[in-house]
Amino acid sequence: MSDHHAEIRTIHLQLTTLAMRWAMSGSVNEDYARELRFAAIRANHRHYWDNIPIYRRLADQAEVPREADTAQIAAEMMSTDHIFKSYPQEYLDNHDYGAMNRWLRQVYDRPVNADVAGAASIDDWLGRLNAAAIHTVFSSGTSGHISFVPRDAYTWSQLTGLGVSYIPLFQMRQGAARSWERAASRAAARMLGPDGFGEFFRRRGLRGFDGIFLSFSGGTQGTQVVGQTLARMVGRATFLFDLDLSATVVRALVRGPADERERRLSDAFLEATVRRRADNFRRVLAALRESAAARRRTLVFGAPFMIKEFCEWLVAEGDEIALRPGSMLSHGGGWKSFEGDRIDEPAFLALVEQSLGIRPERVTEGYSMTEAQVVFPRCREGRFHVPPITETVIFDEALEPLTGDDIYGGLGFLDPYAACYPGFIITGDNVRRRSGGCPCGMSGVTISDIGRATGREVKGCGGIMAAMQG
Amino acid sequence: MNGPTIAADRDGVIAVPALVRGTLVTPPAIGKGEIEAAFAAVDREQTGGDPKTRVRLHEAWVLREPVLDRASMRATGAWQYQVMPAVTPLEVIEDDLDALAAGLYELEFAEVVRYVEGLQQAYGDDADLLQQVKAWVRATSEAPDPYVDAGLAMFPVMLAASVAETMVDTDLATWEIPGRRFLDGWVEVPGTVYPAPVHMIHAQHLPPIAGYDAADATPRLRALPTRQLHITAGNSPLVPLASLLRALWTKSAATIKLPYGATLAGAYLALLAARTFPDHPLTRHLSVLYWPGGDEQFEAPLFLPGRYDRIVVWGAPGSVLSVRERAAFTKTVTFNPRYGVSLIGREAFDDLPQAVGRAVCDTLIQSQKACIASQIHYLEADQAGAERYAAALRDELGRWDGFAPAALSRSQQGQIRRMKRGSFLGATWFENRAGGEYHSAVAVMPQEFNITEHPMCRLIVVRPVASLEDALRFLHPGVATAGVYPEPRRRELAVRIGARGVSNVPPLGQAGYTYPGMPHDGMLVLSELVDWKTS
Repeated sequence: MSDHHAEIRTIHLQLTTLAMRWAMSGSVNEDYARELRFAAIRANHRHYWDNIPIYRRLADQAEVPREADTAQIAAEMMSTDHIFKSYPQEYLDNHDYGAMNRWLRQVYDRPVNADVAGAASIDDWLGRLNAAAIHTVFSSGTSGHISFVPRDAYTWSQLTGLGVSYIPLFQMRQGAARSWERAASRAAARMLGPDGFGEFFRRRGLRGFDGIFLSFSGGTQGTQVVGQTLARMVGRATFLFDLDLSATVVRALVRGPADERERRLSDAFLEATVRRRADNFRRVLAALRESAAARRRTLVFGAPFMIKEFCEWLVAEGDEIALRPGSMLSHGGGWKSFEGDRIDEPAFLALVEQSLGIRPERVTEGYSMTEAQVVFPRCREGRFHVPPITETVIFDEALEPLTGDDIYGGLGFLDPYAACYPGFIITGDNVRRRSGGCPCGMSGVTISDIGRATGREVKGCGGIMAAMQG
Repeated sequence: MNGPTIAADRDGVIAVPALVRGTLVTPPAIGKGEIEAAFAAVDREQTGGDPKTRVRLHEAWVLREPVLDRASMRATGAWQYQVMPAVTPLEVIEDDLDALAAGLYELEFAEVVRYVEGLQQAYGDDADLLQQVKAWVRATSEAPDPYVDAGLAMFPVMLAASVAETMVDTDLATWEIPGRRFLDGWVEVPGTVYPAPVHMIHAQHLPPIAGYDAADATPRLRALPTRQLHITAGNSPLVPLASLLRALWTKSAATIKLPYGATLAGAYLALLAARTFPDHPLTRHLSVLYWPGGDEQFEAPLFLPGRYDRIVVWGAPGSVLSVRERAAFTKTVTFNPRYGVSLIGREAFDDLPQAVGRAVCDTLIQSQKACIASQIHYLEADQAGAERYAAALRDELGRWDGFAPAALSRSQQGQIRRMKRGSFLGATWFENRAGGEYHSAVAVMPQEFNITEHPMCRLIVVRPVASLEDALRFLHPGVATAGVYPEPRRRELAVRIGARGVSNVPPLGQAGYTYPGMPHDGMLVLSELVDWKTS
């Protein structure tokens, strides 16, 4: 283990403990939290500076030295998410995955030595990377230009595990659990610490739930990874789409298939998703009925537009169902390409309650990015809470950091947990950021009023799903 | 001069009349204090984003535009307010088709020529007002002063009789007959008339009908005027003028929407029309006014089937798409957002200053905001050659920054910074900066990029290519103009470039050239604006 990894893991452990304390009590020592975050950011900066070529190029361009303070890093060293799709498209067009390896090295902290001999598709390449312990999450925008974010085993474990340590505690504090469950979880969190509690929750937290995932059972697209992670925790999982969300197919759907093979894959994908959508809905409905009949609670997960579509289908078919009290619905990813289908929050909650019988206080949401490990959970006041373990920066239109307790602008974040790729990211979202606590009782920073900045491409699940609309 | 006019009160609030079917409608007097209070209220409610540019007060729209310091082109913090009457949509709609048929549509084209000549004569007659309008336009225009002055200087040129005659005679010409004749009445054309199958069947089975023979038929054509709705864009003051002239030249009833950012010049022309020809049919069937683009309440009645015969839309992709969707049953002519490029052969290095001078002229058309302005230079060179060319471009842009400084808004500054920290991180940059701000820049970009990221303001992207033919794959119908250097290479590539959807393939340096009768976005526009009738 390198010095950086030893140092950063120590800080991460302290930060995660802090996140749990914040989620349980609603507040933390802000100065201490800031000190920890800044220490991690500075350590990551040094590591990126030494080991990640594209980051070093940015540092040279901005004349930022290896030893820099957090303010300088925030002002000069944050990059847009474009760096994760900065490869020439012809690499993918020509299936030149050796070149893709060399490109990926530019955004990764170590050599990319995955064997790509014979790799014939993006999915093949991602599989080879995975075999070489480089877990690569992809995301596609409306242009079909796919971004790839590589993670080593440790950072991948943070992506899939960090949220478990504080989000359930946060949601319980917001009222999304029975009182005895909340008490038990708090006790377990105090006794077991971050890793132990995470493990406890993974094994026990959702075991009493059946999971309905209105998403794909495979593939490494961001929101799908969340669904797959949750699926491993529930008693029984049913996916709306029991297949991989293939990066090859996603690119072919948006940019058009490049050859006969891609055409066949795309057709098969559309057949399984779009043309058989009603069949899939009926299969999910059967699983919901089975859970209700067995008096088991259900966790429903998906992107809001897909949940809305499913709920509307239930209503149209006259198949509304009353899930067992205590069931939950969790959504993430926002409306994105489906902005035209957006319904306001009260209407969405009313639709969920009407069609699934899930009470509004048991509907949860998280905000995050493909490039981040940290999820911002939404409270009952409709604000997304920034856990004290990550640093946000709000930029004005000239890309200069703003200061203030109630400001609006482009959102950036410095993710202390991004240990192997540049995790200082300027997103394409505009948000309102407020400090000084929330009416829900939590302290710290919140974001709300999220909108896409002018001219920024719609990314993530929304961009992909829009291509699937037949 | 008596009667309604464009005038500022003692606090500088400018009252701008609207022309509503020949009548000048003046806005209510609204004091600066009330205006500022109204904007302060909307600013308080706003959580972020660009400041609101308009409020509705009484029966008026009040626009505010930031006043720019002309030397630095930075916002001074002051606002220039314009008050314009808020009319109702039904006031501008022409629904008496018989009156149009008997009046405006029967007007002789010679009368149109007399009309535009009269406007040309009137332009500048009230020198004080013209100077005042120029000063107001200059105060807020993002275009450098030389561009503002040159744009307004084009008005009398475009109002010339010869321009009207050439445009109509070429755009509406067919069968080698000048277009004005088709506007003035039914014109016999020497076409061979073919019977339809029904006539053949008739001839086989029934006796001939006296005087009913295709061979005796005389084909006639007429270019009938239309009722036109022009939704114009604010990227140039010439856009509202071009729309207005096209309506006049085709003797059409027209509603011209003035865009935010280019209201005053259009309003000045409307004022001239009402003053010079108050009772003229062309004036009586002309409306020139402002309303907020996309305002459902105002636009929905205009977009109903039968309200207009043509809708002309200039603007951003969202605006064009929105109008197309909402006016599905009316023929829509769109000037889609497009951009220009340059294809520059390695011969440029034989005389680099000449090639660079030409290339920058193509780039800085309307300060790089015109849809024909070159945004990307595909250069036949290796990286070192591209960097040498880029350095020369930077120096040339620096000279332009001196005599025609551009206003890179804060968001454009931010966009360049975003590019440098993301998609253009691999590019080599050549910059003209002062005080930490960009004045202009050149980026040598080794790979393809998304054109929608381009701020279209004093930034040239140089893409080195091994051969100009390699650049052909980047051309598509979204590219309006591709200037090519040198001339032999242009002649060699012109058809191949055109085949990819590019409308104009001029020699490098001539992308901004224009002439009466020149197609626009691949269309002879007047021909699209009239209804071709047969009899």
